[in-house]
Amino acid sequence: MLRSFHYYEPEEENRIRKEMKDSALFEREIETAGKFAKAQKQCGGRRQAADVCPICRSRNIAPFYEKWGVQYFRCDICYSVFADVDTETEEKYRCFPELVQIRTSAEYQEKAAYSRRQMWNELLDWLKFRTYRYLGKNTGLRILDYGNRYQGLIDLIQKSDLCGSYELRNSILSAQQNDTEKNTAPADVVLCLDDIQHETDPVSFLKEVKQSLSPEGLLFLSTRVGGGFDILTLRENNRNVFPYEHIMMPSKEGIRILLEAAGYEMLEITTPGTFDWNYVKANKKGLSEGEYFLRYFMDTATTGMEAEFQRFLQQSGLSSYAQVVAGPVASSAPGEGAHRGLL
Amino acid sequence: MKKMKVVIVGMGRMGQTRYEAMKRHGGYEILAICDCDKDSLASYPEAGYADWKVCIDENRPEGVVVCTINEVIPEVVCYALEQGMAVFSEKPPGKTLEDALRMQRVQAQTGSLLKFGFNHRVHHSVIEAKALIESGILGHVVCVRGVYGKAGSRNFEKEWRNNPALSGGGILLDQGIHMIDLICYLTGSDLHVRSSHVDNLVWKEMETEDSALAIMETDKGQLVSFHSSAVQWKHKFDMDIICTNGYIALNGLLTSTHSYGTESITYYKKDLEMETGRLGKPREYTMCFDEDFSWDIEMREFYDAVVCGKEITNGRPEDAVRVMRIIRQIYEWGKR
Repeated sequence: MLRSFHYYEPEEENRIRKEMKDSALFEREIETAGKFAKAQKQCGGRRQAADVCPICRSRNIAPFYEKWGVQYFRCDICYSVFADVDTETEEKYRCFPELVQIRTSAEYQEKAAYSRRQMWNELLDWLKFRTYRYLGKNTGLRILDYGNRYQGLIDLIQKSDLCGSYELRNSILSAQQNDTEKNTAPADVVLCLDDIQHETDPVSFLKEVKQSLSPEGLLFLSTRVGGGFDILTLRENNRNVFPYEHIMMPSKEGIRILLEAAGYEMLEITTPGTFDWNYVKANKKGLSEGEYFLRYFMDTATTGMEAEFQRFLQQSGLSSYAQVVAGPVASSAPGEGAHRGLL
Repeated sequence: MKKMKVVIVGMGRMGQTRYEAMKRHGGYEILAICDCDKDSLASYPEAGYADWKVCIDENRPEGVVVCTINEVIPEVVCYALEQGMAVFSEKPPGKTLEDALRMQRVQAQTGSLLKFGFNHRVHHSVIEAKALIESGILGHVVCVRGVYGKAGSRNFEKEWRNNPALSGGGILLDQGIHMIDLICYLTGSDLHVRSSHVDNLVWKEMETEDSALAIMETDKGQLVSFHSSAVQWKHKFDMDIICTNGYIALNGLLTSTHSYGTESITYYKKDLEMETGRLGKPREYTMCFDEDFSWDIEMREFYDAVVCGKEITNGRPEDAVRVMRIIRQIYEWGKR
């Protein structure tokens, strides 16, 4: 496996971040998700407490925190974080009409298209770079996209040279996609961007995905990481992580376990997240009393020190956002994955 | 997995490195090892030889891995090729361009397989740079600047590497050869020397150079500057690749001593509209690597070529001749 630590220059992140999420819309999303969670709590929809880690199957799990009546656990073996949520409830959340209405609204889609344009262009460059890296080509590919809820991103992918054919699955936009092609041939590229965070059984999901992936194809996966800085530091006070939007947050180790269990070889994992420090800084009240070092750092650090700290998180694989490239298992020879597609 | 029977000639540091990579691969059966220094054979279970010809003749392997000093390389390589054996040889391909041409000729005459070890091509940062260039994201390459330097050593002038009768050249032939090969590989082009300095900047009495600096141009008109140095004092591997729409920086190289710093590739896209940052400071994308599979990848390519009939793409005889021709030009320019 290629182990690399991919990081972005964080200096301009504040500016980009401010534009990325429209605060009023984001508040409505959180409020609506909270409303759903409250309804579940009132109807006693919680199942019995989890007894094994859904990722590594270890029984060494411990309650981590509770938010909106949903219990989160942390695995002491693979360090993943997951919520005690059953599949049926999660499905209900995905289809929760009020949330779907917000996210499919013209206002939401237009604002996302405007504010995320730069980020999506970078994502597209990353896909072009990595597909060339591993497949030796980056045009005319058969793309299967799971869970994408942004029409602007879909349009960008479909219009790019990267795309030969495109199919969208598991998305709130699927029903609105009149021109979606149905691929019969296996995909060259499967995108699972910020999607497994909704999965109660991610191994089964990834196995299902593999059925549609060419043996030489690539899985691009992005996810929040349970071992990431802001996840572990802010816990229930993290405004950007909430039930039932984020119920599965594998650690780096957990991602490898998941992929291997589902029959993939992890070719690379990077943690280019840029917001960890900003999230924590914006939520100083959410820090527990004993976080003396972080409070001290927050009070005294210069902008440059903060940027270096975020860079350290990125380079050390400690950011809470991971990008992963994987392929169906081929070989376990030393360096095989590292040189895939180039010899 | 089919076992490929090999012998290793030369069990110095590189012979040991290749030995370990072949063991990790699992497809090699090392029949014997050979070195004129008996002590270097003592810790291995394989049969040991002092005479390379006896080692080859008695064992009749399918492949010979040549890790000797430069002077001996052509003799062993050509003999093994003539015996119908596949050969993997360490760089440099002999002491001179004539040595490289001789080995290429014998390979062509015998049809036996010959691969030279240029492991830098399969370091992670170089793999990524090659993919990034060919992906087209940054446009096409217009200029390359490379620096590869080390700190000599305590008795540098007494090392066999700096005895021209044994090595054929100094730091340029020993280490700079990698950088030249990489520039050819990454630009996909031959290099033509426009100017060079080959000097003894510090080790004045040494018979070989401790510094070689060259200005070159590729077939496609790309500008290249290159400095190979044994007086860098802090080990350094840096390459800047300027493209029409961006810039790639390779910094550091992962080696067993970690003395060249963290191996990384950083790239920037041209952003004159300042969409990602300030003018002259666009958004940075960096990948750092903490594993080196280069030895494994090279030994796998050799195995796959011999056993599975796959084509060799790195370290071909023509690559070796090309790089030796460029080195010859740098030396000749330096004399002017």
